[in-house]
Amino acid sequence: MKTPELVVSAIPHIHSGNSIRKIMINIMIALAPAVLIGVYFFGMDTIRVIAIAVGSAIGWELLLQKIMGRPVAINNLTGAAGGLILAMILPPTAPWWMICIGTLIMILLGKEIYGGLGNNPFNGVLIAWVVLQMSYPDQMMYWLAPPGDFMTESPPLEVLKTEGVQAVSEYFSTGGLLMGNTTGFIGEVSSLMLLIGGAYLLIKKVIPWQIPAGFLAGIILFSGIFWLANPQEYANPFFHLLAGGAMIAAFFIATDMTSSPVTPKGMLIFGLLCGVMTVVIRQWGAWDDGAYYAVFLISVLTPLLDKIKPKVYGR
Amino acid sequence: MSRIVEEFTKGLWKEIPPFRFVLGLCSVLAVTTSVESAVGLGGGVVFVLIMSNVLVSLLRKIIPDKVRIAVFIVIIASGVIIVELAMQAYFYGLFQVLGIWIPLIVVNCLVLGRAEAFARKESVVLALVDALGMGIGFTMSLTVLASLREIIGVGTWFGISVMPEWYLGFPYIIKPAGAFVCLGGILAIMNVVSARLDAKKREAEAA
Amino acid sequence: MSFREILSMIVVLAVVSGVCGGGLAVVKMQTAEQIEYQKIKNIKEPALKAILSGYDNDPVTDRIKLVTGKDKKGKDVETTVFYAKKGGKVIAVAFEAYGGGFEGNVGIMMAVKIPDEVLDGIAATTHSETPSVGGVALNSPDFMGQFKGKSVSDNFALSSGGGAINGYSGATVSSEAATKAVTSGMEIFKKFKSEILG
Repeated sequence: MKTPELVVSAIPHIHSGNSIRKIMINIMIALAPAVLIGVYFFGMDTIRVIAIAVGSAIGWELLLQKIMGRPVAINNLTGAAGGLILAMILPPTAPWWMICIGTLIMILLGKEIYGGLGNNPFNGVLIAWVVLQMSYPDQMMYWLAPPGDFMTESPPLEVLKTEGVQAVSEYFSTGGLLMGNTTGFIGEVSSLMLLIGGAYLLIKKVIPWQIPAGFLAGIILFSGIFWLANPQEYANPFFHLLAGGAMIAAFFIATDMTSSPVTPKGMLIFGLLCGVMTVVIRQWGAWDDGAYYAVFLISVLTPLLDKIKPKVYGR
Repeated sequence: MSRIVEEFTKGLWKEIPPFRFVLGLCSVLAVTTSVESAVGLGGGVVFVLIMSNVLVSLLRKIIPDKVRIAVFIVIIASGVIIVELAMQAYFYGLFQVLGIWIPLIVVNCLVLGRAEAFARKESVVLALVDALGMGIGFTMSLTVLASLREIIGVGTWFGISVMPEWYLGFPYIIKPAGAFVCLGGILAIMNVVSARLDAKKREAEAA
Repeated sequence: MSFREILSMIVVLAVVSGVCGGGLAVVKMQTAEQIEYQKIKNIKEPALKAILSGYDNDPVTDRIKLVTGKDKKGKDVETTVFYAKKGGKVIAVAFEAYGGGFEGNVGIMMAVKIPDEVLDGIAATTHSETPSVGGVALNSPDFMGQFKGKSVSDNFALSSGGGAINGYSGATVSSEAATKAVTSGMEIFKKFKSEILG
């Protein structure tokens, strides 16, 4: 399929004062609450994973850009921000070599091989995550328990898949899910902290509101239908919203600029489809959490969604 | 004589299948999970290619144009069944690994492609040389791809452990998605090398 | 299109197909024996090795085929009998029989000691039982070992059915399939004893 090199939102354009570097700094600031609570829950392991991920991402980027003869552009911080987001969706026990492979895949297959920043059809973080999940499913499932007492050592969505809805309502309180008092990937456990970060990004206009709004609405609507029909078998929509990777996917991953649509309508549909797909995978798929796979799959549709654009005046 | 050399060597680099034509990928990606099965399938393809090319070239004057594809397919299919029976009789273990991919050599575009594009217009010797070159090129490509996938993926080569003890493997490469990544990587490297070679040639001509 | 052209098409196609077909028939005949040997060697030999002992020949080559019955379509059913010999003397015969399991037939290879006519052991060859349930039973030494040393004329039913074999708990259907296979094998042995030993 031939896609135009440059797709621009409809006029008028106003310069937002955002540069790539500024956007990346803002994303990292927005992740700070989730990082802090990750450090509080999992201690030094969080710092270790993040340090290795960010450091190796910058290192690979420098190396690959030198090898490929491109101007070195680590200053725009895309590598660092990517490494940070990847660290957020790894378990706190991730071994160092796995993180390094992940960041290599993220930079190489996610960005440089397509000709550098902006040409990648997929989100590099997701490519890396999917490759790691496929290759090292065991290492991706060694959880660490946050402090405090709770009833199970499995992440909420695994409980939903293996033990059913009753167990979920027994084991997890809404407050616990909001604060993140469960096992899981470093950055996905606390929905509240991710919401704070997301709100910051929305206020700073770093990310468009349509994608997260569509994402969360898609989850609520689609899982709500099944919950209303049979609450004994299907989990309630707020559980789906708070558990697993829904929040981080909605605010930090689906909003990746190069792999999401550019028109407001397109972004809304993109978000909705991601949300629906998340619930589909969670309820009927083989994996516990569908949020990351959902974004990965739906980003294939981005060129198609970019065709939805306002009518050109006068035609 | 120079013609013979040319027809032979083109299959090894200039027109090496499947990297240049990107033909027959289905079986290429499926059997390259281990070097053993890649070499096995490559051997089968070499035999079928030689047989079909030689027979088609021998019969090129008497095969009516309108039914040539039917005749080619009959010849190719016979060759494939011979390979299947022989493999079953003498390499049963390999036969069990390759399974469905042996009968599928029939629809490998490479074999029919060489019969249609080359053997039906050229003499027997040239057709034989072409089949040899193409077949060896195909086997080589498969072996390279399979070596890459087997060594990176599980740390063995021909079933022999080649990586240090601590190497855990990278199972992604063994999966179908990894096959595409490897193939893409090899294509990219080949294009870079070709471009460099062409540039050198042009420089030499200009000088 | 002239008549000549049409004729040449028909003739060429017919001749090429005929020659190819003939060639294939020859290859098929040439390789048939070798293929059968390979199949037996790869599928049956592991089972044979597990149940036969103390022989000095190659049971895979020392085999005969017997017609032991007819299936529903009236086609002959053949049983292959493998001989284990020591110093040229038959010490045991092995053959395969089938019993209906949870998922299709379960093939059991059994060895009978000659001339004592007691079972020397049994092993599963082909089956599609659930690996974690029936498959465990069919590979379990506890269950499969019960058959060893039993006389050919014993009752090979499960103990629940008045027989001498204790079913593998949790895999009754597969256990029963094994006993059925052994029972039918013993019937074949008794019925065709003279042919087998002759």
